[in-house]
Parts: sequence; C-alpha cells; structure tokens
Amino acid sequence: MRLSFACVIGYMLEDARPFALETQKHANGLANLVDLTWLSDDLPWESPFNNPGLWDIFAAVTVVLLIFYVVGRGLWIVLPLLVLVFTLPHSLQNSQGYILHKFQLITLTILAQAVVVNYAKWFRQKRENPLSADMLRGWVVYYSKGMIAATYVTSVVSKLINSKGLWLWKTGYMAVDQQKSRAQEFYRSLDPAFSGIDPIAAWMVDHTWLTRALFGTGFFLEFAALAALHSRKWALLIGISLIAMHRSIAAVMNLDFLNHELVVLIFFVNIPFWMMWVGAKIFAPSTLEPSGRV
Amino acid sequence: MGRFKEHFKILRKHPIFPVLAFIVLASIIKENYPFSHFSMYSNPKKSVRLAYITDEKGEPLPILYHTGLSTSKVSKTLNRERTPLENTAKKAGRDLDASDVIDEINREAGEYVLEAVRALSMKRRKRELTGPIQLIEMTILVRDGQLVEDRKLMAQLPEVTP
Repeated sequence: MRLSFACVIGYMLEDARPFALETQKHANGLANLVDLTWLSDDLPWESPFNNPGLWDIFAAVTVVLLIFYVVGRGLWIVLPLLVLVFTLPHSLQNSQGYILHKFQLITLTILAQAVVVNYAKWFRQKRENPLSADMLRGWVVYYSKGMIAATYVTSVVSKLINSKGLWLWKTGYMAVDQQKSRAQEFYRSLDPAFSGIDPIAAWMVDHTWLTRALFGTGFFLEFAALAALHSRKWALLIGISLIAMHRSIAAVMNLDFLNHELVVLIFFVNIPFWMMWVGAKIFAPSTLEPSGRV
Repeated sequence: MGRFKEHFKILRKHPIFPVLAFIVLASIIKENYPFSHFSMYSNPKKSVRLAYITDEKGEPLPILYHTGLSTSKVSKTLNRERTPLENTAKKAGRDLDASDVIDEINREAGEYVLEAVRALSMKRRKRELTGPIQLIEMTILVRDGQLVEDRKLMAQLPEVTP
C-alpha cells in the first residue's frame, strides 16, 4: 500500500503550474499567513527538467521523503514534511481566484497518516498498552480510509447545506451544468467536437425525473462511504462503486478525478489483499480467519 | 440530555469518532488547502454563466492557446472580481438590479480579466493578444423546454502595440 500510494503522491509532482505563479491576490490556506510567491523564484542553476520556479528542489525533496515513506523509516517526521511540501505550492495555486480540487484528497490522506503516526509516537508509546507495529499499520490504513470516506460525506453535507436540503430536487437543473461543461471545452481550444448543444444535456432536459434518480444514486453512495470502514468486503463494494461513479461522471460531464479513483483503488479496493485472500482460499484455507470474516 | 451525553460518550470512544469530527471540521474550515468542503455542484441552479474571450468581431479566441488558462478559470476570475464590486456597491446603497450599476460592475470586473488575460498572453511568444479583445458572458438556461445560450458583452480592450 505504501509503495502504490507513494507512486500516486509522486504523480502530483507532474503539475508544475504552481511554481510559475507570481501573485497570491486571493490568498487561500497558508497563503493567508505567509507570502508563498517565492516558490516561483528562479533556481540558481539551469533546470534540467525545464520546469518553473523551485520545482526541481521540491521534486528532489519529495523523492527523498517518498523513499523513506516506502521503507517505513522516520514516518513521524516524513509524513508531516510531505504534507508541507504539497500544501505550499497548492495553497499558492488556490490563491489565484479559483479553487482546484485535484489534490486535496491525497494531501489529506497523508495528513491523516501523519496524525496517526505522531499520536502513536508521542502519546500511545508512553502508556502501558502501546501500539504494536501491526496495530499501528492497521490504524494508519483505517484512518486513511476514514479520511477518504470523510471527504465524500463532507461533500454530501455541503450539498445539503448549500441547497438548503433541496439538492436532490435541484439535480433536475443539472442539464445546464452539463451544457456548461461542453461549452467550457469548446471555448478552451475551439474544438468543433464540443460545439452546439450537448446531447446528454438535451436528454436531461427531457428526462428530469430520471436525471434526479441517477444523481440521487451518487448522493447516497457518497453518504454510504463510511460503510467502507466496517470491513474489507464493504470497502471493496464501496470502492468499486465510487470508481464506477467517477468513471461515469468523467464520461458524461468530462470531469476527471483520477487522483480520487487511485486513492480509492489503493485503500478501499485493495487488490493485493484480495489476491492474497483468493490465493489463501485456494491453497491454504486453514490460514484464513475461522469466522470467515474479512 | 442525559441519554444524549451517554451516547456521545460511547461514540467518542469509537474509532470512527475522529472521522466524524473531521467531517464537521471540514464543513467549518471550508476552502483552505488542504481542507475543503468539496462544494462542487452542491447547489445546482436553473441558469449558469461562463465567460470567454473574443476578437473585436465577436469571434471566440482559443484561450488555452493564448494564455494557458482554461475557460473555467476565466469565469471564476470574473466572478471573483465581480463579488467585491457588488458588495461595495451594495454598501454604498446602490441598486444592484439597476442596469447601469450592473453594466458598470461588469465592465470594471471584465476589464480586469481582459488585462490579466492579455498580460498572460504576452509571456507566450507569437501568441500575444495585442489586437482588440472582448469578454463575453454566456448564460445557459432552459427556456420553453430547450437549452438556450444568452450572450452579453461585458468589457472590451483596444489594440495595444507590443
């Protein structure tokens, strides 16, 4: 799990845009406290990667931290540093007058792990019942899943608050948002494939109640994300359902949340566990839980 | 109240409690990276707006090619500039439904966006937006059972010498 999550974290480096930003007129997050525009300062040497600002330094630090993360050394300091390394540039990115939601889930999952590891180190180790290495691993996975589930439920809470409880009814208006997604694609690069009225948006106008039913399914699925904490079976079911939901949103509304899908795939679906479980079921059934609980 | 306190004590000891506490925290903190209340599409409306850039004849310009910006960023920047202008006008006792007030706010916010867009284009060789440019806001809504797109000129900038 650490190796695959490290790959996803490393993939965040691919977005070097924050390191080209020279202002933070609409300060967000840490930018409210400190000026982060130094991230776009020029390096004292020529960048071999041709990326702006101090990207090279941040990338090098990230790679070193991820190596320690994968081998499991010094996590109590590595994880908070990883949170900081990604919070600095993305706070600057979100200080431009618009908010991007691509990277919050990954950073929050790292934050959850940082909190658990440091709680175990500074509070539980001093008690008469400190956490064993296995228990700590279990807690880290549990609260990683918990953080992921919490973000989906937070989205549901936002929907209920912002729509004053009428979100399911108001999904009948989603056709205009669907058409807006198409228009945004068209005016971005004038690709004629995106000109005119979106056929799915037109369908939504003609089938308002069916539109509500479809979006309602996603709403209740997000609310049910907490069930993934109950057991691995539930995590698998919820995980596959969430990935299917994101894929259908990507196909219909052209809104990609690949990072969310990857994190859900790692922590909820957990393919390596199921491969081992099926293998044990076939070749060594006596090693499995007597109750059969997964 | 006593039973509530009892149930709360039990819940507090459950491993899921920090997760539930985070949901409340995120809903309060809202948008401060890395925290977010993930409010995308949280309040679908009957009409939505988006802004795009055109030349002086009204022909759309490929904004990504010229500036590296997406259309949604142009729209969000316009909204972000417009809101404080509306608040200032409201505090000054001006009627926000009056067409002259709307036009003035739109022009000021629109000119800011066009200046910012032009400045970004100047960093891209051979893609500079030196000619006259306009900012158009499009409202998408359903009228008589059909999707329609109403367009309005927000602001324009004259040609500049590079």
